[in-house]
Amino acid sequence: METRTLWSKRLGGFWKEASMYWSYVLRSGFHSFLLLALLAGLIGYARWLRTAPADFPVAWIAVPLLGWLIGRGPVRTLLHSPDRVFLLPAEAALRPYLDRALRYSFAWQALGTLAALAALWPLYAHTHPAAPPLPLVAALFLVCKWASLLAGLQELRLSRARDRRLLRGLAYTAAAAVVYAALERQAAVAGLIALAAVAAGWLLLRRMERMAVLNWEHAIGRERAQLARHYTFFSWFTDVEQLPPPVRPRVWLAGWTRRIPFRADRTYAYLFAMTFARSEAAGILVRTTIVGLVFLFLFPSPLWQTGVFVVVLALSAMQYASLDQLHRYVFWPKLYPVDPGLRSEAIVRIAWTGLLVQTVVLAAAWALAAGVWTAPLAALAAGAAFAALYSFAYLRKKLKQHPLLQL
Amino acid sequence: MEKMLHLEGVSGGYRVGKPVLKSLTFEVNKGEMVGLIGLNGAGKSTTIKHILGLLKAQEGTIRVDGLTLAEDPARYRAACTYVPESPELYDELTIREHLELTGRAYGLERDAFESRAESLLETFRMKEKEGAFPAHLSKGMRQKVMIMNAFLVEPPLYIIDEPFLGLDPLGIRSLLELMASFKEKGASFLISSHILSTIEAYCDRFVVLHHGEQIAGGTLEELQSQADLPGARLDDVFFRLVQGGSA
Repeated sequence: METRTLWSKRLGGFWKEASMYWSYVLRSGFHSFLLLALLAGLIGYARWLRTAPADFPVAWIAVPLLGWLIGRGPVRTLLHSPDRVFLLPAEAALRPYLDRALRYSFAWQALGTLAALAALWPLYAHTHPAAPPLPLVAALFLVCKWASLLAGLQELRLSRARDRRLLRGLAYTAAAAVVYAALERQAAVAGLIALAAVAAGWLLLRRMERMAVLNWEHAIGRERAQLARHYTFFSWFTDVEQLPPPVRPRVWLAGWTRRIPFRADRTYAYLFAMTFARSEAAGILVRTTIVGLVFLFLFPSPLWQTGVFVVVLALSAMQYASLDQLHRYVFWPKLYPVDPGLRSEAIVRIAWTGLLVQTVVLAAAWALAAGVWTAPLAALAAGAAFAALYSFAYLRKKLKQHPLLQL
Repeated sequence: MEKMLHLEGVSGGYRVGKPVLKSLTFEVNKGEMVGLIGLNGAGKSTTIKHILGLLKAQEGTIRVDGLTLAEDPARYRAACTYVPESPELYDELTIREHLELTGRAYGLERDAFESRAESLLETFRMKEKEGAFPAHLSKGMRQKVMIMNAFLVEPPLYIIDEPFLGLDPLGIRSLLELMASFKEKGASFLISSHILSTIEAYCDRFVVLHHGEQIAGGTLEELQSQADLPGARLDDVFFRLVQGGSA
């Protein structure tokens, strides 16, 4: 089997489908919003740089961000479930396919890494007048990125989850250390750390149990999860039939659904709350909130804090917009002896409750960070008003127009 | 006898003007188990979809417990539960949570739900898996989840499409015992299955579909008479009937 050709076909098919969804994204005007946000961000950043303190702890942002971007090593394999039946016999011929997958993944992730470095570099240069040459730092980070992806490819062969975590933990730690050393102008140290990490990784791999070419179940599961994230983004703009939902137990979040009364009229509230708590969207919500909380403390300026508050709530509202996509092709709700109208109401209530809780959490963090109550209280009121308008006006109207929800 | 399910002159399908089902008329009486049999593509699943209200009949009426779907959707729906041929579960809910969702949807009291759920989990040997997600279950286990959800509600009518598919031998026995026990209490069953040897022993009557039409119906003796095969097994009767339909 010519697996190089197979890769090209699959990649072509992937991008053909993605371009269709991108057309919906562009039609929504999202790119205009993004461009405006980017321009506003750049102007605000440039202005802030003029007055930023020379001892601003840039490492606090650069190390976690760049360390994460470099340390993560997901290889897009474009594998599907049927491959475990149809491609498995040709496993020995998969090397060219996986090489291409590696190069493809590197191209995109290198772009992300370089973009983050380019964004942080002005701040870094401002706080470190004797900064090393940017191309040198960029080259070092790209080499580390490549090593991280090679580790990612090896991860796809490992049988045990514990071993995969160990290897990935090594990659993240090493990446963070390399970034720190490089930004502290310790290029030699950074290089040594990278070499030591590669050696440690190689030694670990020799002792770990590996499949011949791929741990198929794990590799297919990883690809499915990556595809789900890709489809989740598009589901903000249009229906996505293929969305295979990654499910996280999230006991701590799903647990509060036990408070929903055990009644027929709360059936949809239970179903959607439980589903949402375990969905990718909820994960994005939680991560966005955590990042927002960190930024509220990191940037004590009222203008920044207001911006963080607005951006977090706006991004979160977009997650709730995907709630109406849940279970829309499942026939079970059509069979329940429950008023179909309660389905939309359940979605509205979840969005309202979620946004309100986030507003309270963010406002409390703001008050703690700023040491004042006026602005956070005003933000709380504004956030609650936004949550109400979004849920009871916008979302409710949108759901009324959704044909698949009219059972 | 009180009719729990009654189809009268039902024609319907997936496209208006091109009915897949042609003028079906049969009933399932209270406390009766009726087998719906036919070749692949005969219209069994389509018939079931019409009964469930997932498809609208182009002609004829369907009554469950005396009501049509249009007359009282809530009571119509509450009167029956369904086990599909292929298990369809929510990826995001554990087995226990599926049961809880069904319990809520059908208005069970919490106490009744808890005791029935426990009993069903024990019966189908799924107690250890009650916290598992569908992705971690085999096909047979997922089928058991569908069955447990149907029997949790204890409705007057059960509609089951290929109940034994994927079940292990103990699971099949548990299901048959459960069906027999609920039938004793007055529940009615419409079962679609290709495992004729099993349903022959349990069903009171049969409806034979072929190319969307009902070519035979009645008890086994009545089918034997229609096929002119007195004393024959259901398999042989069925083959004679459908071959006669194809000729």
